[in-house]
Amino acid sequence: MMDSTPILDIRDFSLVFDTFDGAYHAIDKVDLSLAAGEAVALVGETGCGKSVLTRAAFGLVPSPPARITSGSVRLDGRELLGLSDRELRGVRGKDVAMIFQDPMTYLNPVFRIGTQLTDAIRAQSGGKVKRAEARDIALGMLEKVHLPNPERQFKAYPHELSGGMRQRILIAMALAAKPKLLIADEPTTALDVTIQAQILDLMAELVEDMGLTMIMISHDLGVVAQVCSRVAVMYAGKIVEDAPIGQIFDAPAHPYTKGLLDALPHPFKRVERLASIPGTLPDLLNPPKGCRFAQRCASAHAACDAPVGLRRVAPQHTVACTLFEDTPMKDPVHEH
Amino acid sequence: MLSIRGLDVHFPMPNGQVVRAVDGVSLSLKPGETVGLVGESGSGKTTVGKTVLRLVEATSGEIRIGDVDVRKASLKGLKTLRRKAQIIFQDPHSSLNPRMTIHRAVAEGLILNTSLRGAALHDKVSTILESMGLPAQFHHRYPHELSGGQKQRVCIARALVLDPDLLVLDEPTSALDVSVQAQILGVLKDLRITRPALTQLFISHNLAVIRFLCDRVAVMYLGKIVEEGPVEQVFEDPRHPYTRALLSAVPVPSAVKRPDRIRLTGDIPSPTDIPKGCAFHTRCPIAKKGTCDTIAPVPVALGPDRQARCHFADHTKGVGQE
Amino acid sequence: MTSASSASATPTARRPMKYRETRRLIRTYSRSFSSMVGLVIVALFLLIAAFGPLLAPYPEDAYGAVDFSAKLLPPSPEHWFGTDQVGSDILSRVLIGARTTLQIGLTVTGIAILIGVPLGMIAGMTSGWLPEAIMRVTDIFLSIPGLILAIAIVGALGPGIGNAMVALALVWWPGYVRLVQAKTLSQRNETYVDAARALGAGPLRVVFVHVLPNCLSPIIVKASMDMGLAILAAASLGFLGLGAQPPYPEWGAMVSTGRSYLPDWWWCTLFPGLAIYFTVLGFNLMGDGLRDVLDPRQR
Repeated sequence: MMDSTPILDIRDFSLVFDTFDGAYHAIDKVDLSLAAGEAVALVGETGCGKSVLTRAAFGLVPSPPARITSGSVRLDGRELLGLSDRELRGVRGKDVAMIFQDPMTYLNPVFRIGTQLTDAIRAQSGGKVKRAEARDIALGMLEKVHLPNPERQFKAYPHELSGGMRQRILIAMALAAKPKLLIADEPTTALDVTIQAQILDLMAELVEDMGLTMIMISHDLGVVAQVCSRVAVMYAGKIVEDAPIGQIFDAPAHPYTKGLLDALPHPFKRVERLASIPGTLPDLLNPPKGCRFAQRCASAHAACDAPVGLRRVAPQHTVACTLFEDTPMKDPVHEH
Repeated sequence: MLSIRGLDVHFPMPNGQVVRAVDGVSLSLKPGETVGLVGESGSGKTTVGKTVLRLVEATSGEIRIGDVDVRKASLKGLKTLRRKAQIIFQDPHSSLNPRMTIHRAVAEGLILNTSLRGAALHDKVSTILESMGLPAQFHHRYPHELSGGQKQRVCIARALVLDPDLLVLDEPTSALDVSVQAQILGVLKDLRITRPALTQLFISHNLAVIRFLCDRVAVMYLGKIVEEGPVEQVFEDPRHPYTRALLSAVPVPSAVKRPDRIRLTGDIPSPTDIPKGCAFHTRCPIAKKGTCDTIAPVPVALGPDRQARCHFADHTKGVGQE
Repeated sequence: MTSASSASATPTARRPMKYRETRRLIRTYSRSFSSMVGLVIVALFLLIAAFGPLLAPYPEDAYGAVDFSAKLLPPSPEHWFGTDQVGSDILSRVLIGARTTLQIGLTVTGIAILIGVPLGMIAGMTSGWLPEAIMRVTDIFLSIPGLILAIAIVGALGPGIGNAMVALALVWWPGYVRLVQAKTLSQRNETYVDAARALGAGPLRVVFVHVLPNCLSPIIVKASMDMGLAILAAASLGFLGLGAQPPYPEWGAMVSTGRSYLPDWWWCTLFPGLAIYFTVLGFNLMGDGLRDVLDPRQR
């Protein structure tokens, strides 16, 4: 199922923001890798660093104030850290595509959809594709994302379309260059429930049929469940658990993951009380040396004051928690 | 406690069109009851909430809170109304004045509505803030120094300090993280026990939250209530095709694919241009030509407290489940 | 709940919250070199305005003392800035003129704020014909170049420093109406205004307790910049002979009189000119700095 050379391989990635009050340790020693055709969810709450991680890896976080202090980011074997801005722009246009929460922000309100799509396709190809050809590609993409009446929407301006349609168009634009990796940052958060369901169906379909490799960033475990096969849970700048989707729901290991799941109200079950995670995020200007969740963790003990790395508890299931022993196992994704 | 009858709220637009935000809504809440109002954008659920407190003026219809006729209330009547009914908004950050400490923000309502001053005022505010889980060291901070969850606690304290009979909650947890949402939902659920007489109108697009908190639920689509009933019944046996679709669109944290998926095609029509007949017929999987696109359905009673606004409400049991 | 967490670890440092906020603002402001330059210039200017008559070596020269034996002397240890065509010490006149300049700046911006802010609030908070009328009148004023209009007004009232200030104030207020109206409109739609209404706050309370305090930052920023601009405008009127009349020690008027003695007796224009330049620069730099601190989104 999985290729031995990952499409994206982030290793030991750390990033700080230099602020008035000192260095803010936003990301700390993160490892994340994706095999071709894999859809991985990056899940966590506000301030966990999930968006910063994926943006910084591709040079989208301005420096200063950000400073990458360690690590490597390899896209299909090519190291990205240290590339010039120009080279990174090339990577972002062609190899990595991104879609975001609010599609309106990424569409120019004064140009027709068709113009923006064909321009984007021509720019991605470095101007090699002719206008008419780009138009055909664009229309083909719009059909792939099931936009009703693509010919007519081609002449529309962004404000004439609904949020769901705009998100479809952005997906089409992102995928037109056949990127190696798609990053979807909360793509459905701004949408209504029934429209969200449509977009999630579309994304699941693209992953299955087109073999799309994708990182989907979300705060909602329910949303990613329909699309992704693996989940990495982030807390306070660290990945605390990384497991296949089934195991995250059926056998969550990290106390934070458990806490998140227990905090969700369920639409089809009578729940009397929700478990809530007490406390707030640790101060990342002065992060705890050991487990960053220990302060809020009911199972915390003395060993939690020492740094804890990811430990393997099952094939493809790792967790950064002292409650578990590391059991070395053969696992193609994590081996070199 | 709260009774809404035939409520219309129409907004004229500069271009001559009319937004029919709320269209003939009737709903009544018994004392101590928590009723959920669920719907997507453009359904008019928020407008209903604001109209109840007269933050938005209704076009026609009647709203009564206790024995006060909200729409006819004089300035003085409005003043008593403010004490009886309070509202909590979605974004706790923008609903607090950035230039006021939170202690001052909570005191504001008491200063405006009671003769309480000085030490007594100070103590009452401190007590309620502490009961909301905000220790004293927070009381003299400004909103931007607090987290989202803490700010929402302040808003709840600000509403409750006036001892209202009715609380309108407009998406109070939508802007919050999951774990913080759980805390706030806990606070709200505790109110059911600590203030059993408090009636709550809970507006949300999140069905799971409604299920957790409410006794009854009313589902809105394009300004109309399409289905209404006890939460358990509506969620377990939805009779309006829209309710059914809404429930099947809820993302559930489970890796098991749901068998009963219903996907609506198309977008929600604009409230300036509501489809004729049944407003839902353009997206309805069971719509019948000649009926649904011409005749507006009336609510069909399906049992005590239970109704659905669908021509086929009597027959929809199990229909549409593949 | 246990939200207290790490922040409360230092309970003593927590209490003076207001000071902490102020300290942060000061720190942000002082990080910018140009803002600090502006602040130093403005402080210097205020000191001179306060103590000018005491600092001036020949204070009587500021009010028309004539000494033709000492006319048009170049800068020297006795007369650092030289003397003018009637033998008055230019340094003394510049130092004492600072007070006039400050007066002009304060009066013009003060009156403009007193007229503009209430009108802006009314235009922003109410609806119907009144705000329409206010905004249209404002537009009319804004569509005419301010200085030209001021010249016309002074022309009608007669030249003089008092009339110049009145004229400038009359053309200055529309800017505040626009600013305050826009800010009020955006604040009016903030949820906390709805929240205040739901708590039973009347319209006046909403305006004065909730909306106005949140409009203060941009008003302060604009006022500090306008100080410089008003001084410049008053100097221009003085230069055109419509403001202060010689021998009144006003910088613009001094530049104007000195103009006839250019280029040989350059010090007559240079020093008052530099005084205007640095004062305006100082207020502008300070205004920029304040904007960055108080209103970072406006950049």
